[in-house]
Amino acid sequence: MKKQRITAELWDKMQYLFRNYYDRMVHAVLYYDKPIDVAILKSVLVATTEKVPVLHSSFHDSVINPYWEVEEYSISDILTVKDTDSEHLEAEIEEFITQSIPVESNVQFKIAVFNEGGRSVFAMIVNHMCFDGGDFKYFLKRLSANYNAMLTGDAAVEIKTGTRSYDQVYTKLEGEDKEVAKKLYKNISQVKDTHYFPLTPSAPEDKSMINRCKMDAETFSLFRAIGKYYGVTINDLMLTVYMHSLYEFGQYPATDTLTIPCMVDLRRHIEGGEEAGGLTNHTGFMQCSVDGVGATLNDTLVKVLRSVRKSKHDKFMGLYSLPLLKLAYTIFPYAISETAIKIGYLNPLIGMSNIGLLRPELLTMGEATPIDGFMTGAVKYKPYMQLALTTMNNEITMTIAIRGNNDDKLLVEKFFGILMKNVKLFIAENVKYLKV
Amino acid sequence: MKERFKSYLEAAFRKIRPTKAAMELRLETLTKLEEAAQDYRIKGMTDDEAIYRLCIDSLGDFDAKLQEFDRSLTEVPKKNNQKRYIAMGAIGAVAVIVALYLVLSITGAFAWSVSWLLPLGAIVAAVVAADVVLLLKGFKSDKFLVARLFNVATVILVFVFMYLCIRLSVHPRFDWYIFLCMVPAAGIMDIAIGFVTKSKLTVPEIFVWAMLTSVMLYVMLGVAAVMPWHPGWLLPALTAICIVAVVAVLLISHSKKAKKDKQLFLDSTKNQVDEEYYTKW
Repeated sequence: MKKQRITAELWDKMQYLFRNYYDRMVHAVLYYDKPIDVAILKSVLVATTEKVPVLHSSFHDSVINPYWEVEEYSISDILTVKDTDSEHLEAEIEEFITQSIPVESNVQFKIAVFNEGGRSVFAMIVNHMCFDGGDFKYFLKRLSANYNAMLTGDAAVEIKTGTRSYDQVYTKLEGEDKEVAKKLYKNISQVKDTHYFPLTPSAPEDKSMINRCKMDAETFSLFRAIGKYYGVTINDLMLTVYMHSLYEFGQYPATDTLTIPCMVDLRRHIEGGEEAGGLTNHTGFMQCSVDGVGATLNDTLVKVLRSVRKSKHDKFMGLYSLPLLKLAYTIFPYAISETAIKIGYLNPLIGMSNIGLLRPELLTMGEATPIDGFMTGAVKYKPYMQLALTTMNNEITMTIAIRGNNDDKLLVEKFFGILMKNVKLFIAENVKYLKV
Repeated sequence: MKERFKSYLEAAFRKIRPTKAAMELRLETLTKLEEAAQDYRIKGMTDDEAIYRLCIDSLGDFDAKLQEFDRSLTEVPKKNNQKRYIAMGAIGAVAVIVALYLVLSITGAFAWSVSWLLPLGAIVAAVVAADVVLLLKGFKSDKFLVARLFNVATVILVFVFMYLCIRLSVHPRFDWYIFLCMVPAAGIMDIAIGFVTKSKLTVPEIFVWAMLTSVMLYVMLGVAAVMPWHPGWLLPALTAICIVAVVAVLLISHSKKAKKDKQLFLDSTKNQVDEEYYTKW
């Protein structure tokens, strides 16, 4: 029987192209306070996978036009359940989430449930070509809702199954704005920032690693309160501390211009938001440029704000370059368009992605509630790196996922140290205003 | 603070007409003022009155600006005259050239077989003008690749035109020499741009140009029997030797400079004598 084919959308092809820069996986780990009922989870997963064919499809590269081919699968291809102890738990989680699913695989996501001491840890990886962080959060929420519904006897599994097309991002725009947005051919990746995160040279023995650092609830609460006092977002504050720390750690000259792209969820432009369409990628980015580091963190914050305000005031934020990509994929056969885009696209050496808030009440599995967790983007290959942020239970988990060795791990840990030192310095310098 | 800014702006905008554009400007100015206040607060200012004053002062002579803004709404925007003049000039030039071409050909002043060079010349002139504009734009945006490629194409076009003019009017014996001259000419134009734009490839390009020019010269002088083929071949050979010698000198001086810089670096860092070494732990 001939296998069903699914069109490879623009972002599927783009994420496939990004295989040159990272491992194309998106990761999530949720630590529950009680065990998850694996039998129910299996039922929910099978029903969900059935509804979203791209999740059980293999990707086929083709000279003219690549495509997905729907494949047979079993739940064991997706779900692994393992009993472990506290000593080995973290190592096993790390081993699971740092694996990469080949595009030829029959399933494009994998889940592991680790049972340890009467609680479960839920870990999931998914091919970035299927969906991005925004829809990953949606997927986890639906998984929880469907699990809870099934627990109460409701067998209907709900998940969005609409179009995966990139052009949904124009649905909120009207008239002239829509026309203008569809002509934003400007290549915003062409910002030549040569600053890189100092890591050791690539070597064959490098392995994928997800380095984590946590900002505790007390620090986060002060940090947020200061942000509120100044009328700035956590994203602005984190970007400030991140850039300030990069100047310090990377020893960039203080007057150098540093540009960092921040990932932007393009669902803000979609009518219906995250519930609209199907599971896919809708991520753009805004550039944040500072013309040198500030003498203090507050000075750097002013510089960051001056840059991000331009993007925030721009009603087309994140929509640049999409028409250019569409044009390239339309006028050329795939093989040529990929080469052309590769020539014109400059992958940012340093990036930041604020995945945002993971709300525990939306991620419960029956009586099991997540007490900790994080999400992170793909594992970057040197010299690329990205800081990802997840907020949960009033804590921020910072992650840097890279392919490297033990020395790189130490460098990243040192950077986290500088980052946290600067967070605390910023709090110390500004906490006085909270008492007024 | 926001309410104070709003009150200030409401009062200020009462002095001009309540148009839609004025409403947009008022909102824009409010955002600007709020952002300025935010910046001052982050920089450490705590006195609200001082922040308010500074923000209002940053608007400058706001009443005058508003009057100017209001006036600009009533004046019919001037059309882009420059573009219109260029377009009109181009159409006029085409009309004159076509007319001249027809008149000269019909009256028999020039044969049809030659007069077509007139419109062709006009096209070449237009391409040269476009080339100059592209180069100037390249200088402004600091992007020269397209301008340089276009420049080479322009030189080729000019030389083809020159060849046609000479071929159809004078019929000299060695009119094809013009194509041999075209290569060094394109090279020298590109080298000139390379010098102005401080391109790193200019020096190697000079060597290539010198070699090509000597070969072309050797062929031209040989064919014209001005210089015998032997020992005329010494011209490109000597050029090659000179290039190798210059490259060697450049490499040696570069290596010496690098060595000197390294020594200076070592002297300023690792070899620096620190008296405290003996006593400080």
